[in-house]
Amino acid sequence: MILEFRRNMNHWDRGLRAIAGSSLLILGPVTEYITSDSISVIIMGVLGSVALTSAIFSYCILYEVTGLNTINNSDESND
Amino acid sequence: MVDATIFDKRPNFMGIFLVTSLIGIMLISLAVYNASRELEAIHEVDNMYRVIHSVLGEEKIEQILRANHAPLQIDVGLNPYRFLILSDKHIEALQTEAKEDVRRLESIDLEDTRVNERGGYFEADNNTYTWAAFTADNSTNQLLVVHTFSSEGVSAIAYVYKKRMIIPVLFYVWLMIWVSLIFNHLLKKLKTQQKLMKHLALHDSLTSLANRSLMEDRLLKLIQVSHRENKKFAFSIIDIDGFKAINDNHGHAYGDELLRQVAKRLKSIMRESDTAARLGGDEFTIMLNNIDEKAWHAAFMRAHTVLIEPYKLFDTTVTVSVSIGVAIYSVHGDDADTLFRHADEAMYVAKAASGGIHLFEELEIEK
Repeated sequence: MILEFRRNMNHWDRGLRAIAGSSLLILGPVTEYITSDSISVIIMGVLGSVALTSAIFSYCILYEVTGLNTINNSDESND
Repeated sequence: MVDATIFDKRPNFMGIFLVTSLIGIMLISLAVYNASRELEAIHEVDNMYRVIHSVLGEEKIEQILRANHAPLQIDVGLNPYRFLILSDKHIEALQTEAKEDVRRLESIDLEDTRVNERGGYFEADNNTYTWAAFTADNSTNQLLVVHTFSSEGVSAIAYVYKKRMIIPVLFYVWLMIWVSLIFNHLLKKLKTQQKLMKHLALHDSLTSLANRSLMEDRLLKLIQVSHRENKKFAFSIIDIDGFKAINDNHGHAYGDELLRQVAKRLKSIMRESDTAARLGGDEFTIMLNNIDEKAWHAAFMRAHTVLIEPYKLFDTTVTVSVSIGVAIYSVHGDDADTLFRHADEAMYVAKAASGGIHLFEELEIEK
């Protein structure tokens, strides 16, 4: 399988990922609001970072390897 | 004409992964529950040792072991501590409350239940009992303290789950969903490729009609079915006259386009149950099954009429003649080779008469 690294998410997807990623980082490593368990905090930190990064680049590698995407041509041309 | 295959089934790993994940999570939860209870019991052993040691002290323990009498009652929580003397030969209760413990301790190997140097825990009579052993320098006996263990209960376990397990479990389920989606996607791609390869192996790449291999396979199956049901079918070989001239005069692109259009016209007049195939070059074959004489005669007439109509090839229009040779199962042969040979001979007779299907009729009339 050859990865193309092309944008594969729309603005809604990016927004949701940005909110989810920030929430995970705040509730996890920053405040330890949900739990102070180190493994849980690491998981939330990693997932939050990945979600934020994917939102910034509009690209999700899991979308690519599963053949999914939330982008359409009009979104792509707008970007 | 369409092969229904297992490849049409939609792959789905989601259910398998979620069910196995659920089973895994239940087993891990159970293990965590048991581990939490065990840790609680171990904590209780350490706590009991510390309390007894601080309340009685070394001297008092020595006195008890020397005099074999119980200390004052020490009650922590709901369950009081019970005192016993453990010697090489037997266990002796120092209090009446501890007599039941003698019975319980005699039925187990105490050392097997030890969890650390201070003591251990064992289960008996549907209860868990923790114990701690104390020694003195001038005695071989040990002071054994037994306590009925009472777990903190569901709240403590729920706390452990909430603190340690919720996030890893959610992460694990999330991961499993993605893994199943990846597997679904890969399997779908694999099946699409397999389907394509199978199609390429059994179909002509230029016209998408069945190729010779598939035609032979279907002819054999049709013979078996017709033999079993005592039915007839028509097998024909079609040759496009003048194909070579088109190739030579206009180029191979025109010849290929002509073959594609011939295949398209053949498909348009075929039923789903019939088979059209390209044998190679400009030769085609069609098999009309389960059909009476009038019907197949009309079908071949229609095929001939359709095939001799002008063809628009890019920037030019060409007209070709068509020779159709027909053999009927089981009148002209009851095996594939004979049928094929007779149809071929009939086609050459038609070709010698400059094409047409009349030759087929004449051939039949002659017979």
